[in-house]
Amino acid sequence: MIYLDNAATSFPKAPGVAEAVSRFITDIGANAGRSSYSTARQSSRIIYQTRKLLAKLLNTDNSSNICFTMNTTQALNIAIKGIVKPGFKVLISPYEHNSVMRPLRQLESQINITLDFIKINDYDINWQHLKDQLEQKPDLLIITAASNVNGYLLPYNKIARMAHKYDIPVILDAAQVLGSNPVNAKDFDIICFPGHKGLLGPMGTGGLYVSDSISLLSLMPGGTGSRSSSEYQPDDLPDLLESGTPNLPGLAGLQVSVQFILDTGIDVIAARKLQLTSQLIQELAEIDGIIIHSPIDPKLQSGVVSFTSLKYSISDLAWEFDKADIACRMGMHCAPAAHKQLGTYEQGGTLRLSPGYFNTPAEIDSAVKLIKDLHK
Amino acid sequence: MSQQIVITFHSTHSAMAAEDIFKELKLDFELIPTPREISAECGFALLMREMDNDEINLICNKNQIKYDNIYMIKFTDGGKEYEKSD
Repeated sequence: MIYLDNAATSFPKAPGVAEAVSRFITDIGANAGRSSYSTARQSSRIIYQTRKLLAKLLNTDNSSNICFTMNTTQALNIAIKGIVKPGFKVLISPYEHNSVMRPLRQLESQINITLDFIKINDYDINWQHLKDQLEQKPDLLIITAASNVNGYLLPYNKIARMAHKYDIPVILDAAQVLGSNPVNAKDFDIICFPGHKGLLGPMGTGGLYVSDSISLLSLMPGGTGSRSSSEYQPDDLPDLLESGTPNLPGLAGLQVSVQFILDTGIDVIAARKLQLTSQLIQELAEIDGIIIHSPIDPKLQSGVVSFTSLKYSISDLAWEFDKADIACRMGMHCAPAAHKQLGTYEQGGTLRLSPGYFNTPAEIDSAVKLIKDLHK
Repeated sequence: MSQQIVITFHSTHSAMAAEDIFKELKLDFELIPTPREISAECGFALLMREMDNDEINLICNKNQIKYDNIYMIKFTDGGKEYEKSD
């Protein structure tokens, strides 16, 4: 199979990940943070070391401020529902995934919050309008670092810096960028991320970095192995947000994958992804009847290409990809807001190809040839 | 005076962080189940051998180790007592 669905989850995983997951289950298997016997100590150290590696990736010394979750959606729910209060005004980008939109829409109907959208036209932010919006003092800004629909890389650092000038806390949804684009903890109040996408780790892993400036409530209080004489949730991170037995096999794999990312270098990973993405965009652009819905400029790209055809429906195209054993994703990509922004909502979305670090130029050629042959 | 000392922690993460630093400093220590006489907070604690109370305080503060409490172990006839450090 040619796998071009890395925006959904990475495949294959980093070298050694599967072995680490398997080794944990067969050789260690103990719970972490509860006991002091040898395998329990090994489990505790896996979590500790993985946190330290992620802290290095996020360029922070505060590894205890990194909390593990099962995915970005859980991290975003913890962040959003931990911060947003009745009557809050929340500013967001028009490219948000449903992992941001659905918690916000839920709160909108439950506690009467209001949403406002940053104005972006053809990947050009209306900075004056953003300044005006920030001057109205929203209570919170949430931005995706890059669109999962078309790869548009938002100027997330610049937007966060502007918001901080007005003392507005910023939550970054780093689902599409961590592992290939720089994200510095000091620039954000909360960063939510998956372990299984750009970090090349197992599914069921993710997390959030929470700066000291933010205090959150636990959405899921429970056993943490610490302060066990109390029936109340501990208030120190990471325990505050990590109740119950974690996905230790997954975290054992994540430890290996984050080490791989650090050893390889995010600049090398980004260059490979962008090279493949640029090749894909250039070759698709030469086919009559194909409409590309992604930024062409590599500086605006995180590595995702969305397109539609004048000749075929996206479901027919996806079927052709299935038959050719090429993995793609068609439809709304859990991001109706982004499709509304792109003007592809009414037609039912787009077909998306998302190369990863392990793809080759020959695989991109094969995918493009399929589309080219269909449009002859 | 050099003696055995037990350090307790708020969280596993803090205990692991302390372990890292003590390893680097080549201190003689062991991760042990937290003695029930002193705490039921975190499942494990660090037992320091041959350590002076002032010295361990200094190391913890210098390295920003987030500990809960420091206890000195007093061996009595047939038992142990844990004296909390100020």
